[in-house]
Amino acid sequence: MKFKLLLLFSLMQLAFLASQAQKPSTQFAGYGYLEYELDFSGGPTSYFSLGEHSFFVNSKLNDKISFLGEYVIRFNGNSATSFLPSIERSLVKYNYYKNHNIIVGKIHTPVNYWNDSYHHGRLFFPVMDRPISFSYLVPLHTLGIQFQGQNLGDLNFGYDFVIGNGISSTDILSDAKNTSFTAAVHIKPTDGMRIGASFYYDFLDKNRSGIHSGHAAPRTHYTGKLYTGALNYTMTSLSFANFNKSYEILNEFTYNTTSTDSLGLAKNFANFLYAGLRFKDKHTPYVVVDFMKIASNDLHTYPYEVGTFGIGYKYEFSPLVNLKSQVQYDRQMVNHANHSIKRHFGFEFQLAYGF
Amino acid sequence: MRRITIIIALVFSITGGGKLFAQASMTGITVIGNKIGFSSNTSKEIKQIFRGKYANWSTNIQVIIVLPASKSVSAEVVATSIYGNTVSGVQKYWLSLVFQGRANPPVFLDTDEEIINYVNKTPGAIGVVSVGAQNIPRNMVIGINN
Repeated sequence: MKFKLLLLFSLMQLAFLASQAQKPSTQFAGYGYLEYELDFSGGPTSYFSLGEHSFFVNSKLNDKISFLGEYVIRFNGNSATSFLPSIERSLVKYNYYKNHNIIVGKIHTPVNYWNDSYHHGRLFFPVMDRPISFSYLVPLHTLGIQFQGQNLGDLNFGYDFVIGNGISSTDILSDAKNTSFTAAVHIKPTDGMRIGASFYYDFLDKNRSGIHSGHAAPRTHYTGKLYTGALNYTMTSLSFANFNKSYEILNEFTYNTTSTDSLGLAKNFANFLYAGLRFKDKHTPYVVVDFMKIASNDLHTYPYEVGTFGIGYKYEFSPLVNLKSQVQYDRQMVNHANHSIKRHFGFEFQLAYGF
Repeated sequence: MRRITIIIALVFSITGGGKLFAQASMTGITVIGNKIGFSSNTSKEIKQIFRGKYANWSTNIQVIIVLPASKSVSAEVVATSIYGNTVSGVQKYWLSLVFQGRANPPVFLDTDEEIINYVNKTPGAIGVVSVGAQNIPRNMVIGINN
């Protein structure tokens, strides 16, 4: 009840302040990418692909209120034109006191450095693609209300508390009685460094995946009957990032639990490590190691093991154009049915740009 | 406990901890401001301000950062002095921060004259120009204490 009153009060205050808005100052930007892949897994295949294109809007509505939107067009084979648009972020931020903000709308859940920083801009990605955990464990979006503070004190402490529609919901509806909850903190002790930790909780009464989770995609590694009972979902994340003139390091650790009356507590892990060496401002050779293990008693993501090792090189033509090349080896073990192993070896180029 | 302290110290030294702005000395630039609540400040604090640390001044006026555009003659000295980085490094820094939604974009202007005029007309604006810039109203100059 208290939460609902708080939410109502916040929305009323935002509506009042929005009505006082002055002439907005708006900036538009866009980010996109093209890829070429040479895949050796089942006999060599070679192809170019047009990646998702993100349109970014940032508008200052008055001294205290701003709007941010990110709209993506990406390939979808089910569409008549082969492409479909989606709203990835759409939020109104009210700076109510010093460095403290209230945000309402659709956000990228601030559970780790990657999801809070790179969004859909491949230009900013240090490697070709997102960590594996983003396709299975990480609740990518939340639609709700966020309380944010940043750059507080000498250590540049920051916090994010989010209450909103959970994993089962869509952008217009959630039939669950509860909301998801995210609590995240970080510090930025030196220039370029950020250390963070977060906790995410959701209760899925029917174990459905809506559009706010990376695991909304079909579970291609699992062909058995899906569990449709109640499930508690938690995710604890630890992030370490240090990007400076000489080198770059990003480590994302994810610990996920799901608990059901049927099979009890399942413990899942994922870790993504990127390390790059920068020289002459434009060159960054790098390595990436990514791993995820889903427990045998997990009834949400279902048992799975996957690992990736890649070596790459990034060249920056300018702050708005870069070219990445990456050699990558993936190994997937589906341990639910017959422990079969799939291997993938490929070579990729990615041209990422902003406009 | 001692072991943990040593490990933390080691990680901190390996990862460049404590190097905050160490390479940037504030020579060759003049900082100017309009109703920002102080007439002088430390170089460390000035650099933090230009990195988008604060959303509002102590006077509750919104912080507006004004920087030379990348083609401007003073872009390089500002990038080195304030950010300890290259011009493209500064561009990347702001592109990323704005895309994250954690800061409003700075105002980029081509010449010292444009920066002085903009700051002069805009309460809450803080800008940086080259040290030889002409016609700066005296009350706009921000003293820097090291």
